[in-house]
Amino acid sequence: MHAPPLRTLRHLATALLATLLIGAVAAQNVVEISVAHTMTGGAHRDAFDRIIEAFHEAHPTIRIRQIPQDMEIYQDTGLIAMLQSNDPPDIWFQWGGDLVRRDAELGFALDLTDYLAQDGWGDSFLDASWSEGTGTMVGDRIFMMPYAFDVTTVLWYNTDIFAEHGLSEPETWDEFLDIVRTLRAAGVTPIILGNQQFWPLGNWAGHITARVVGMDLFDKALSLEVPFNQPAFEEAFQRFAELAEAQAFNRDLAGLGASESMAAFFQGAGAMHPIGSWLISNAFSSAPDGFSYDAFNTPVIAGGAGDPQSIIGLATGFEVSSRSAHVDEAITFLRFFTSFDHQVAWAEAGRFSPIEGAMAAADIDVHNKALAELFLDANELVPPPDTGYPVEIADIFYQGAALVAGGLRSPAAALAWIDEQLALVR
Amino acid sequence: MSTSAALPRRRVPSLGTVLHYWVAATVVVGMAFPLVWMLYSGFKTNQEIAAAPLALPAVWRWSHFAEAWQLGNLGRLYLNSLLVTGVSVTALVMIASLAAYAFARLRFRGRDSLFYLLLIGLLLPAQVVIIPLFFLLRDLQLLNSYWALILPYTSWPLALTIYLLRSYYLTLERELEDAARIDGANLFQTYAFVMFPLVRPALATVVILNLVNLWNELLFAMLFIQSEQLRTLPAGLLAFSGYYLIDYRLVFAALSITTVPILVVYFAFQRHVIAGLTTGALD
Amino acid sequence: MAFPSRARARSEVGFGSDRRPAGASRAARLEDAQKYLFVLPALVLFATFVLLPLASAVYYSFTVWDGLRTPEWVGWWNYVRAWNDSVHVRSYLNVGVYIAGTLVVEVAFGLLMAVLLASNRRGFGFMRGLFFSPMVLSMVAAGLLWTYVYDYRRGLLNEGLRAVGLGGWAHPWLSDGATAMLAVIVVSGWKYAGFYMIIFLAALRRIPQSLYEAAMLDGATPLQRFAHVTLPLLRETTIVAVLLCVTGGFAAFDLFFTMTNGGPFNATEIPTTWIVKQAFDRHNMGYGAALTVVMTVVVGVVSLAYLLATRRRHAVEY
Repeated sequence: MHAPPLRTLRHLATALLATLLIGAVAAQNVVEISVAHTMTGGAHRDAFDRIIEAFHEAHPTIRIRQIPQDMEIYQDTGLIAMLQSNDPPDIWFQWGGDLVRRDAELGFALDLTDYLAQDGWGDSFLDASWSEGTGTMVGDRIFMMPYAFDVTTVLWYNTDIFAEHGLSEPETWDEFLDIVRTLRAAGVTPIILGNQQFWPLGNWAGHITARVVGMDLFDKALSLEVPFNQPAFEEAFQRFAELAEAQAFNRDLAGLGASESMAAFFQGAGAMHPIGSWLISNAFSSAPDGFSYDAFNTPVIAGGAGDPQSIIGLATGFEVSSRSAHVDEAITFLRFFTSFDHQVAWAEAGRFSPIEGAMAAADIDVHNKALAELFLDANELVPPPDTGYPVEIADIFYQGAALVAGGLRSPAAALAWIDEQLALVR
Repeated sequence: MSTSAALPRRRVPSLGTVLHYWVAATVVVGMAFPLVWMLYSGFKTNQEIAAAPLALPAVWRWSHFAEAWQLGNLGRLYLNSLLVTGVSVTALVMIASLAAYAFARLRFRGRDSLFYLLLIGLLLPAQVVIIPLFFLLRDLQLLNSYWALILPYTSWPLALTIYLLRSYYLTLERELEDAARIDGANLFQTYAFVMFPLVRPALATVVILNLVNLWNELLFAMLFIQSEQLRTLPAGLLAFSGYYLIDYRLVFAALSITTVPILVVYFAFQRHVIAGLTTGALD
Repeated sequence: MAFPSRARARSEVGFGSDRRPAGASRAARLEDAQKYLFVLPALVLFATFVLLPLASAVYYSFTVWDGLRTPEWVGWWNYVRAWNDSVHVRSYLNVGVYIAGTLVVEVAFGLLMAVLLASNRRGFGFMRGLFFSPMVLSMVAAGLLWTYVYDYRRGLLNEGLRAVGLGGWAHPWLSDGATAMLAVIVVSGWKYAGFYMIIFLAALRRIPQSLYEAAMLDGATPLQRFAHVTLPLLRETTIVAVLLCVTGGFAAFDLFFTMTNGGPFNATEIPTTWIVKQAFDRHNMGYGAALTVVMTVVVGVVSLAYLLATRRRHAVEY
């Protein structure tokens, strides 16, 4: 066959060039968005990975790049380093509350209100999602899209130990103290906890305090509008003194780490363990076979000004960068992530999904179900001090509570110490 | 010090000798036991560790080590540490030696003042600059990269390293340099081919000192690198233990994996290490 | 580690320029410029990553700043706060206790072991090596290991005590303010005594045997020989060792961070852990910077005072 004529060659070359150009243009249309978070492992990370894979299939022009970091690093230096770099993440994880307020105030976080109003996206979420209390909003604008609710402190207990001593879940604080005394008299450590970092006991202390003094006073004090050293708080801190007196805690409360104490609880070193909803997924991986546990909310404290059945918890979720060049793509991903089927998978991986109906439809652990019900039934949500308020203030409050629970200071002395330390804060 | 060869060897060691051995051995064994405990605890299950912490493992589970290696990405940590430490120490020693020679042997204006300026670094703990250094690295867009560690690691030990090398250069004989000059060597050639090879003993000291310090450095490593992929051993080990704290066997296994190789290397080179540290460069 | 004496610096016969006659040639001037090249890399690195941050720290110390918002100038406010901050003041007391403790368990213990293991009897080389080995571990590894050793319920120490019938002595070592610092000091000694042993070993080896023999002839007991021959001749080395221990004590961070993070209730809070907490946990960058400036001054003053106090006309050469 003789060589093709010149004209055909020209057509071929043009076609080739066109294909290449179109290919190049199409390739440039692939957008990459980065998502920074603290899920370094575990069932929820696997679920997240699968959701991303599904997203890639459904949206071939958008690629998701994950930036996982350890929670402590993320909190201390990771996020602030990323936010101020030339290339901040398009989407990042945040705890609802004070940090969302900061991100909004400084202009890092995108106002999501209008995006959520489109096509009923925001309505697919549980009502509880949208409030300043949950931490997603600043004023009446939404800056964080929640992806999980966390119950911060409930009293987990070893059902075998309780059965052995004929105990049942207490309704009131006095009943609770009786249980503590019974256990201590029987030689069992009533409450095992590791408070080296102050937040484990601190969160519980925050809850108890809010129960006793009421949300209004609680908020004012943590916002440095009123002093802590006053009768209402003394009444609250008296509860910790009661615990100290009854020898409720393990001897190494002050120096033990949070994770170690959870492990010790699984090993039966104590009857009760006041910690959050993440105990459930840890129990799956680390508790010995046959370990049986349940939980009850902090019992009713008589005479308290706050809702006696309040729960302490918060929303965590994603914020979108106001500087992102790909806001639409980011929103597309978030809508995909919060669609019903994927949220059911999310729930089955152990997280408390904020999407209406997802928890009910999912096949989840009985403990997760119970906590979800507790959260949704509650009329008052107490924000944990270290997410609802600046970390420094919360830290000082936590230390004050720890001083009383450790029997080192009286309630009045501890409160005076708190005020003294807070005076140094600007 | 050993007794001279002229004295006859006694058959039965004296009470003093026996006591001497006993005390020394007890102390040394006491020192080593925590490491031994760490090693064999990695072979036990969590239940075994909880139930009988002191006991030797019933079954020697080597799989724990493979698991710790994989879960903790220990290979990656080793690589990162090797890279960061290797580059830093090499650069540090080269740069310090150049400067030390100049401070010891060359005359130029401001030499003494510059040297005293450098000595400030001797007394300062590196912690004092973590805040501005963090933001400097951020401004240079170097955070979360190997450079975030290599640059500070090369800069901070300069004071001590230059000081030690300079002391050694000062003890070298002048004739060698003069001879080299007469032979027509320029400044740099004299340094590189005549003087530098002569400081080997002191080089050993500074290399070892800096190697150990930088390999184990935690604070900068923790603050300046956030990504899992780039972390060095100390920070990675801390993060691993923080995450797997409840899984004791894994933490012990990881501890063993990250310490045993270094111990092996140390024992292999033990004589050189100790010799290097006792050459008198420290006085 | 005395500063080079002025006399010595001046007596140094220079290489090159000061031997040449006035009116140096162009080549000579070029060579002078080259000399600066020798020190340039070191000085650039030092200036950029040591001096510049130091200066910045001073600047930031006069601001209130969370690392994200713009710094707000507040003048001396941070320093006033540092003065009134009881934890901050206490941290210096704590580090003082730590340094005093490590002088015993690191320097003195190291010296003791150097004397004990100085001979070349069989096995002593190995024992010296074993004694030194914790030095190569990272503080993180040492801290983690010893946290388990000190564990209240399952730790090596408490279990060991229970095993020999001393269960009553089992204690939450790291949770009790009274014992926590001691516990950390012990770990520090475990790790660093070997280093000082080596330093003293080198110095011991340079003491001529003849001096010991002379003392023995005079009827001196081992203890007397130690006190009157060994110790005086170790003076220079001891000065160096103490300085290293003191500056090292101020720089301690890793061990405290890993084991107690300043707890319980600031019982083991040292300046560096408090600084890290203020700056990176609480995002008080300005206050943290002020604390670092204070620490720089303190360390500088202490070290200089120490060096001046121990400085004297050069030791007798032997």
